[in-house]
Amino acid sequence: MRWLKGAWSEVRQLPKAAWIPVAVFLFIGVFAPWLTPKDPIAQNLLNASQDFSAEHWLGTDHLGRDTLSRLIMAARTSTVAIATVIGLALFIGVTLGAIAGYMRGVVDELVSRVIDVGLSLPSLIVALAVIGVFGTGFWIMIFALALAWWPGYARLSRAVVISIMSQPYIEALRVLGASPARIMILHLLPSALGAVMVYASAEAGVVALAIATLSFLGLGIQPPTPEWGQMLVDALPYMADTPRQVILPGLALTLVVIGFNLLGESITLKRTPRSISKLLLRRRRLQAAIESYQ
Amino acid sequence: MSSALAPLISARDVSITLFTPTATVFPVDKVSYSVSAGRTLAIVGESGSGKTVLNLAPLGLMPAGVACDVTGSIKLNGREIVGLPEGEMQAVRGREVGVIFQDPLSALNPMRRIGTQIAEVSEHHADLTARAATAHALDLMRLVGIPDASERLRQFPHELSGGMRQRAMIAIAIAAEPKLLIADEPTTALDVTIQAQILDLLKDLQRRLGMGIILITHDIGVVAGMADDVLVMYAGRMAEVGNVEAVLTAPRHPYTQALLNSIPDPASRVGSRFNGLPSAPPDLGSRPKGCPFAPRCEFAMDTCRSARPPLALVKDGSAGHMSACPPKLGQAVLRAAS
Amino acid sequence: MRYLILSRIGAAALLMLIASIFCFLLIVAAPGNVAILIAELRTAQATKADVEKIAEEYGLNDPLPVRYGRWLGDAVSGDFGFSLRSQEEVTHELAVRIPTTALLMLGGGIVSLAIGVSLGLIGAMWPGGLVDEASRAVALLFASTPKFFIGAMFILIFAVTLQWLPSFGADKPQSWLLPCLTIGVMPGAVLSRLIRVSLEDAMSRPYAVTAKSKGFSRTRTLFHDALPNIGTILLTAFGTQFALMVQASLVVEPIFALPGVGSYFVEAAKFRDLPVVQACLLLFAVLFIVVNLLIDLTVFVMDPKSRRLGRA
Repeated sequence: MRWLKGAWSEVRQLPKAAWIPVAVFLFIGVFAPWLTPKDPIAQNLLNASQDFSAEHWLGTDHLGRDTLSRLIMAARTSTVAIATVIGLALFIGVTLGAIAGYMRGVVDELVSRVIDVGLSLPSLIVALAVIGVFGTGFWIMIFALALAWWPGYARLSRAVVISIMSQPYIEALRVLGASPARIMILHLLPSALGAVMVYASAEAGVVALAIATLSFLGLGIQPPTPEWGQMLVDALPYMADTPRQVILPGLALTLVVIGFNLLGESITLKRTPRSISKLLLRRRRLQAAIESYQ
Repeated sequence: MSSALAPLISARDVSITLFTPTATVFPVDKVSYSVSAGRTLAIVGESGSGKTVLNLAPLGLMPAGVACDVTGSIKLNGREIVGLPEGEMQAVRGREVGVIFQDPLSALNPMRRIGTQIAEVSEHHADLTARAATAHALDLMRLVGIPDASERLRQFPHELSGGMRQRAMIAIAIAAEPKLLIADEPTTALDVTIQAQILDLLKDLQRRLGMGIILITHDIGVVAGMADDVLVMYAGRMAEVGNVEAVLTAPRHPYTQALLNSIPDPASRVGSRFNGLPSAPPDLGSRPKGCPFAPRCEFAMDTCRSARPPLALVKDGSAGHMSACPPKLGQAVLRAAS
Repeated sequence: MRYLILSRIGAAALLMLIASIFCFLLIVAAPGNVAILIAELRTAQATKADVEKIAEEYGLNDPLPVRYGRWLGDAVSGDFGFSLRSQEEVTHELAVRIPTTALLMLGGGIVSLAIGVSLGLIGAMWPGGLVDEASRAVALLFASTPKFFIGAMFILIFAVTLQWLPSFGADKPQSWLLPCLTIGVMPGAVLSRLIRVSLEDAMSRPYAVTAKSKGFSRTRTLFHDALPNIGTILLTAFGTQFALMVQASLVVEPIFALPGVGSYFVEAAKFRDLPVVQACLLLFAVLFIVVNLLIDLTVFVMDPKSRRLGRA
């Protein structure tokens, strides 16, 4: 559980503004079924394309489904999909990266070249090709995105493993007779996983975008399961009359991605944003000026 | 310090406060000095004694992200430069004051040719055409002793050796023929064998161009060879100031004495004890009530810790020799030195 | 220097080879019998004999290396077979669509450079100023907004509400405006921040202090001293942004009904048109590897340090 502790202490160091939006999104995602005021799938053509009202806070879509409920339910769809994609990509990436970093030699060369090819292709293009071959569906989308995402994680965990392997305590462990499997499972994998998890959480926004984009293209999450990209494309033909049905899911998705990107920026910079430090500078200067008059 | 002419630069009671995002520090506290044409003032002190900030902050040459307030007065060629607006300051920098930095590799732009970096100064200040400026740069490079100047002109900083880079840096600093040259540890980043060459070059240029030089250094050996006057700084304050001979042969401040002691004696036996100063210089974030050197001073009395000893002329010393150590202690230091 | 350039080209060729193996294996791994798929597309009721004939015709019974060699040979000579859907030559269909996508990339590139360079420079000239703070916020916003949402909003504002610009098609010059904006705004925002941040970093280097000590203004230092030092960073970043722009064409072309490679790829993926999917993937892979190679080589030539390496 060392990596979990490490990741948590990383989060604790960040400014609150960086992780609260993400926490809110995850909360809604996890508890969505208890939060939706209406059935998100129930159609009612008599109530189609309604405006904001007490009954339907954010109106209804062209099939009379409650928009607020669908937005909330879509958060769950996203949470599940993001978590599965990242989990699967982490599994493939960390395992292969750690093996390459541990074995070096031919295995490393081979894995590294594959990683190179993977990284030279934008993830959406890889995912699209995989879907084009295997067909559409939730699990194929997850599989396709994981396949597009693992090379980045693999490269990072390979680097982490190599840097750990060069440390004297690993040599000491070997001398003491620790088996390669023991070194791998107890020492290398946890550290690699910790480092990659932090990176992955910073990048989750891009995964969210990719899922929504595939769904928008009709290649990701299929109706009637609510998903923001798919809600948006459904509403496009009626945009002239009910633009809010396009704007609301787009806005929800954008907010989530902004949240993840803020988190990522804080993680990579590991400090408060520059504008805040500038403000601090100004305040200190003022304080010193006041003190000098006393 | 003695010169019949009006000094090139004279600083009175300069104090500087620096603001970084994490701290407020007071690296310079009421420092005064002056330099005349053709003379060299060495400013000596440990790193963190404020000697660099004292000279670079008033010119606005602090690194980005550091805000500073300068109080007091600095008259350069009779003009007050403290509080001078940035626009007028630009005409001062380069034109009236040239600056040589410690590490020529990082101070030169890695992506631009040496020739351009020198030529642009005279092109800007002397209003030369690009062609004339390049010709001038070539002359300057020969003047500072760069061999194959016409070829070096087209090279990039990383293609030159450390000594050649510092020579190029000097060419940049003197390109607009400033009357004052500030050299911030010009030899620290160089090999020992090169150091002497660069110092000789500076002396030679001073003789030819009649510049005043402020030499910032932590090496008291450099001071003896180069300077006419010396200002010893400790924790942002003046410890001792005066003629080089007087200060180095008859020090009246225990810190100067300690600096002199720390020069290893070539005659002493291998393995003999090195006379370094114990503990570290004080933190500049606080301003101690008494003498900042007191905690490390072997002569310190109780009064040293409670009140700041004033800078005063030294009894029976040479003209202008001042020390911030009470006269009684100053005598003790002198006795210990001789 | 020649050795370094050649080895870099060799590495790129190796990457292309690996990429082609993946393209090939992906189709081999396709679930279901491809021969049946093709037979069903040709005749509604395919017999076993039909399937067998097709398998023979496509050489599906040969061992994998033989099939790979044949496929690669065809691909290199520009033959990607026939689309399962339209029965047209894939190469021909691609050739028709490439100019549209290329034009879109060009327009997007111009938009992104215009936005990125102008906002980045303004931000660096007046750090902490209104433009700087605003462009920081806008950059975060655009970097986080899905392309399809940006496109939809542009259509809603400029085509539906204001009715200034057409929302689809490629026949009139002004119909290119919205797609190019949609595709170029986000890379532009990202580039502007990158320019801003790397200029700020360059301005905090000792050589910027030297420039100041020469008596130069901040603006002059910015252009003469800082700008030459961020060239390689910019070029590398533009490579990444180009890849993302090509990726964005997958979304932007369908939204604006542009008949380009992106929408072709998406259509092919929807209908499992295997030869087309394979050809598009290989095309993109080769494109990105070549672009990366070109950028690497340019960076190499731009850096004076590597130039000396060549002379030594």
